[in-house]
This record gives sequence, structure tokens and C-alpha cells, in this order.
Amino acid sequence: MQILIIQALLIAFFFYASVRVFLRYRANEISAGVTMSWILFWIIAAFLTAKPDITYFFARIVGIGRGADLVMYVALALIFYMLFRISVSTQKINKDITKLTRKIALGDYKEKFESEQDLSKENRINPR
Amino acid sequence: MIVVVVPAYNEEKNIGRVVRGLFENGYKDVVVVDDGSADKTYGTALEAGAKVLRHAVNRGQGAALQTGNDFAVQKGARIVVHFDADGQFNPADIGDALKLMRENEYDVILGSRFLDNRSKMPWFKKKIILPVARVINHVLTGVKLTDAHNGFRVLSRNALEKIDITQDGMAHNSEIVYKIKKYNLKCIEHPVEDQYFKFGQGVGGGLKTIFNLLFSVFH
Repeated sequence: MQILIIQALLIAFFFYASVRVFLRYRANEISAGVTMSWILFWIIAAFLTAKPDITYFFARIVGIGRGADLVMYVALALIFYMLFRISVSTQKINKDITKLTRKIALGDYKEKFESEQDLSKENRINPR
Repeated sequence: MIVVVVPAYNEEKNIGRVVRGLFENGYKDVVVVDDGSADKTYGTALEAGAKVLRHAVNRGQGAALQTGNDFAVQKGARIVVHFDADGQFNPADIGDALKLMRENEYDVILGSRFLDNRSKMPWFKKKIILPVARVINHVLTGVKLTDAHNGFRVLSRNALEKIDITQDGMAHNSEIVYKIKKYNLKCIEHPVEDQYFKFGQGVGGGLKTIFNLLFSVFH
């Protein structure tokens, strides 16, 4: 079996990506589930790169001429969907940061400028 | 109680003058929201006598305005005035706007630089940026206004309780207009003066505003 340079490069990259995923797992940055999913993803990608005929088989079933085209279509759809997911999650994080920033700003003001007033009020209610 | 909310980001050169100008015009409840400035905006505003809230990190003008609104509502404000920190607005315009609001029971007064000829704007902004922004605003909000992205607003307590600004960046302008329509708030535009000491945000800034407006559709 002859392997083209591009295939070798891609497989080497997928191996590198898997190692990076594993290192993230070891550094306790991602969960076991996420680690497994990504490593499985890269293994499948490497397998399809090494044996592109398999993609041709699936491409014919769904009515596309070339296996590489099927991979491109599926990859693009997945990438855009992931972009959407990331954008939603970033937006949520941004909103949460704003809420926290606001809460801290209002709390800080109260602590800095109103604590004395509060104290004097308290003293008025419960004079010693 | 009338609270003037001034969102400020890196405005140490102007904020003192703006706060003093508001005091001189009789507004004693001036709240500056320092939106994570890297300069001395916080200290300068405090020295000038304003109540100053500080965002630990920069969150954008929309976020700063909502922090000011929340604070004002907590303190029992009946009316909130939004006023820019760059010193380009004339504090004397607030009085007329308040009078208009009281006499006609408006919920919101929006400042407009196009209802009289006091505002001398740079050509590019007047003829290109703002007309485009106006059209986008109209399409986004369904409300036709003579101005877009004007930071001068007067909001009644009713409007304050209904309008929650969730767009942290510049898109809050369109959001406010959209919510005015959504909640059927009684609103009118009022002429305000915008003095351009400098070229304002510049061509790049203006284009960025348009980009932000368009981008807000996806939010």
C-alpha cells in the first residue's frame, strides 16, 4: 500500500492532536468523556485518511461522486455547527461576566460609601 | 429624584468637566460608571463629586448604562438621564427634555442631533455613518428616528423598570429603541447639541459602530 505525503502529514497531525487531548486530560483540564470523544474522532479521521476507499463507499450511498467530497461536506457542516455552539457558550459566559461585574460594582459602592450610613442607622435603631 | 448616569471609559481628561457641568446645572445626583478604565477616570470623577461605580473589567457602554440604571432604581430614582462622558453634550439640554417629559408624560426622550443645527458634525459622520446607522436601526427596530447612536436619553421610572439593557456593547442603542416599541412606551425625540471638539470616534470608529449594529442581529 502506497501512502501519499498528504496522508502521512494528516495522520501525523491527527496523532499530535490526540497527544494534545491526552495532555489536557492529564492536566485535569478536560473530562474523561471529552477526552475519549476527541481521541475517537482523531482515530476515525486517521483511519479514513489511511483508507479513503471507505469514504467512497459511503459517498456512493448518499449520492456523492467522491469520498473526499463527502468528508468535506460533513466536516463543514460539523464545523459550522460547532462554531454556533461556541458562539452561544461565549455569549453566555460574557453575559455572566457582565452580571458579576455589575454585582461587584454595586456591592463595592455599598461597602465603601454606605457602610458608615448603615452603621449609624443600626445604631439609631438599637441605641446602646 | 433625577439621576444622571454617565458611562465612562478612559475619560480622565473630560469626566471632571462633565460632572461639574451637571452640578452647575442643578443635577446633584450624578452617577459615573467607570467601565474598567485604565486611566484615572475613577479618581477624577470622585474628586469632582460624583457617585462613582467601578466595573472591575471593561464590559462596554451598554453594560455600564445598565449598572447605572440598576443603581438609580435601587436609590429610588424617578427619572434617569443618560449623558455621555466625552464632554460633547450640553447639560443645559437636560432641563428642556425633563420639562417635555413632565408636561406630556413621556416614558422616554431620545436626544437627536438632527432636529436643530447646533451640532457641528464631521462630514463623514453626518453624511455617511449616521444615515447608514439610521437605516439599519430602522430595519432592526421598526422605529424611524432622525438620529442613531445618540447617548442622550431621559427615561421615566416606568421605562427603567421595563428596559433591561442586555447588549453590553454599542448595540444597546438599537436594543433600547427596540424595547421602547416592544413595551409600547411613549417616546419622542428632542434636539440636543453635540459639540465636536475632536473628530469623535473617527472614520474607523464609525464603521465599527455600523459593524456592531449589523453584528447585533446575530446576538
